[in-house]
Amino acid sequence: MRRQAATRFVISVFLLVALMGPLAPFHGVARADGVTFYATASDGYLSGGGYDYYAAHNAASGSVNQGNTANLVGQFRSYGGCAIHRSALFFNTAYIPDTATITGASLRLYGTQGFGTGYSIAVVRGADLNDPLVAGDYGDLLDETASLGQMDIAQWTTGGWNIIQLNSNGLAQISKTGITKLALRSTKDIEGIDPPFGAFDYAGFRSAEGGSPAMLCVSWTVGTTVPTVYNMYAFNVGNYTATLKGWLIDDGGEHCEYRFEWGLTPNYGNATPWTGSITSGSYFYAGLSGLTPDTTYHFRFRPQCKNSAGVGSGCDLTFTTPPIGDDSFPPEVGVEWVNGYPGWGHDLSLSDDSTAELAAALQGQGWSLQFNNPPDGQDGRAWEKHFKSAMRGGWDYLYADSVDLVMFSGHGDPGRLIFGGSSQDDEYLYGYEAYWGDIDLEWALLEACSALAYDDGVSSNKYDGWFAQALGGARLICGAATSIYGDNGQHVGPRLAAGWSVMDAWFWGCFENQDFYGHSCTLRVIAEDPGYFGDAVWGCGPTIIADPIVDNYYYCLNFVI
Amino acid sequence: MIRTRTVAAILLILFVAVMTYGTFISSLGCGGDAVGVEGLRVDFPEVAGPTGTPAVELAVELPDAPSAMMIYRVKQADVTPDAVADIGVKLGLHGEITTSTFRGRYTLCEESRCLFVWRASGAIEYQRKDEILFPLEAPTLPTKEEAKRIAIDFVDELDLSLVGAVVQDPFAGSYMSGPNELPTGEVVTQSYVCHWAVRFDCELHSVPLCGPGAKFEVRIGNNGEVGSMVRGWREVEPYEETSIKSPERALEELREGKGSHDAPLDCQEVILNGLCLAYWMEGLGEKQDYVVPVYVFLGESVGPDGKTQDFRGYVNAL
Repeated sequence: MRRQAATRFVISVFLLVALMGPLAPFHGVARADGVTFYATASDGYLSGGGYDYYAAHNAASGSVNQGNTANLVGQFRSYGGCAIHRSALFFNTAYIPDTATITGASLRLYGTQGFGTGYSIAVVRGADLNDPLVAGDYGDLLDETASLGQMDIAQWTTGGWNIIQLNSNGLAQISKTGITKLALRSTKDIEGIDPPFGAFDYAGFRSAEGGSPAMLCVSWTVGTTVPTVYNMYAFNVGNYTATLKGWLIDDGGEHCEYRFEWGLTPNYGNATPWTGSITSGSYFYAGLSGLTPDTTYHFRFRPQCKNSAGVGSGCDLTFTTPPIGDDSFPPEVGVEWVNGYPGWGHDLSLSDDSTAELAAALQGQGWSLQFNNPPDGQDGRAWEKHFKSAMRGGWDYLYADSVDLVMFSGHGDPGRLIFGGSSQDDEYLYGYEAYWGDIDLEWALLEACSALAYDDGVSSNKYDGWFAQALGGARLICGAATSIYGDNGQHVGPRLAAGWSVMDAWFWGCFENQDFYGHSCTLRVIAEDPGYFGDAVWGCGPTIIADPIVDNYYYCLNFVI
Repeated sequence: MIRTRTVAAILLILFVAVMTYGTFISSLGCGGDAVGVEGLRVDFPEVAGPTGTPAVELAVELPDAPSAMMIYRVKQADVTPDAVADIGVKLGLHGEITTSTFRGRYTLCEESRCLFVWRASGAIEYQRKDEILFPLEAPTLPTKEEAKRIAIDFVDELDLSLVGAVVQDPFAGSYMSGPNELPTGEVVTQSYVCHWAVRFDCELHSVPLCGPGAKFEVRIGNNGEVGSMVRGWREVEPYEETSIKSPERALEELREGKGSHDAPLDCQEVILNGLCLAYWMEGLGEKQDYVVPVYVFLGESVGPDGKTQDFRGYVNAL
């Protein structure tokens, strides 16, 4: 890539924000949420009883009743003595965010029976309950006398839902990490009022086993938290410049400012200014200029975002500025070709000629041939990884992205190039595996059928979008959306050398070899920006000096032959 | 013994004489077998995509075909700078005519407009390398009928019309879309036709022409301006009628993977719905001595997901 030198160590921030990600809801304010939790099947009730009310009331243990269709709460006295029922409920409320502020909660009970007057069903703390219940839980509830919310039995509905709002003490009992335990006692039980004979002061409500489990409806808000930031990569890395890319995964509930720290050590030492106002899912960028060329420098950087809760940082990454000369005269061309496709059943024979003729035309204009693979003229040395992004384990920084113009000639099909098998890779280069131009590449010529496959605007065959993702600073990717006849390098190369735009050279060069008869073929050029459709190659015609700004959009020009 | 030697010597002399005469006659190109059929067969260009030999099914019956067809000899074009200048004048091009080392063509360029005349074939190509054909904003295009008229008038004014050439309905020669969103390819803003292409179908004694050299078209862009014209045409004369393969044999060869076709890599099946004979024209920059017939198979190739695309296959008829 060719750039104008800039003042050393002057940070410029350009075109910083691209709000491309999906917008998360509730930006800029605390996020509200509400969820209904159902009682687990561990619910049940504990009972004590006997002729001596106080002995029964104050007993350390009682009987455990689980698996019934209804749970009971309250007390009564009949011929057999008195009975005291205390219910226990368990809710898994771990879903509630740790950062949530619970603003309200209600307990909903489906009434099955309700007797007596002058008392209320009270919710009390159940923190000491065992899950599953044990006999000792009865006694443990004796001390739980503070009401967390209650309902007068006069309001109690049988055959319908009863809603008991929890007070602030009740809200405090709701766990954000696990099980919320609540118990129910009648106020007469809490007060220890010995029921006279014939006093039936108790109510029942359906259990989980009864099909209508108790519900705990909790609402909360999530306050602002420190944003979560992911480091993407550096691209458009030149001798003196680079563009850094970060991704704000979660804004923490507020619009965020962002910046990049960078430097030559893990301590960074430099930072771009805080700027922007971005939300979850946004990518953000900063351009650095005035860097120092050469491979000995490994610039470190990390993105940061901040809101009122604090600063979130991505992880530490490095990039390397290329040595001076990489972008200097002469510009470089690299070509790879495949003729033999063992096992595929359809070999080619002119891919080497096509690439060689293209390279020769540019060499005639002073270009340097950086690589011509296979170098020994034998198939099997053109590898997919030579075109694959380093981010995906490829070696493009040594091959496809180390030159100004690269050409591949061989088979292709929608969305991918085919390398024909090698122990070195997986045969296919899918468009989305490539990321070209973040180091050097300007123009890619893909002489391979259908790699930029046809998109009729209706079908989902938008494979050109696969290779459009490879535009990581490269200007144009030229290819075909349909089958084409090969050996086009002999026509394209001289046109490039003669100063034609890359697009014109590709279209009209390939045009020569194609056949009108029967059906058409479509050539396609995709560009980061339409301004680059007029680009000639370095030294041969007018070329835009500045590299494109990478974003999530591309342009597509089709030529039907 | 002497008699035996004399007879042997006479026989040797006669043998040498016959061989020498045969070679001489062949070199004159007079004999019917002066150019062997092998040498006339088309070396089809490579398609950078297909593979193997997919199953080929016939959706139509094979048509009848003649048992013999005429082979034509090309009258080699005598392209001179003066002839190029004459065409240039009609196009308003008055600059210097240069001879490109690139495949031997004359070039006459002024600003963004260029005329190329191919010495090997006599093909003529006119191009504008500005934004007439590939505008960055939606152009103002004529109607298709107007485009057809413009194309006809353009070739008439250049005296490049061909007897028997039939103008076809214009089609979108280029279209632009963008910005398109990654990675879906959805068109976000606009998609427009950049220009119309108008083609002229040519025949040789009622047999269509095919191949990369059979090009005759005009492309019309913004405000009805002609952005390009190409006419690949070779004057020919009858050379020899020769027997050709039957359609059945040609189909067999297609199935055997002979010839050339453009079925995609993952194609499972080809369904043929057309077969015809056509004369093959080599590329514009190629020297061609004879024009020979080929079988053209048209149809659809079916991918593993059932999606189809146009199919074209060639098999030599000789």
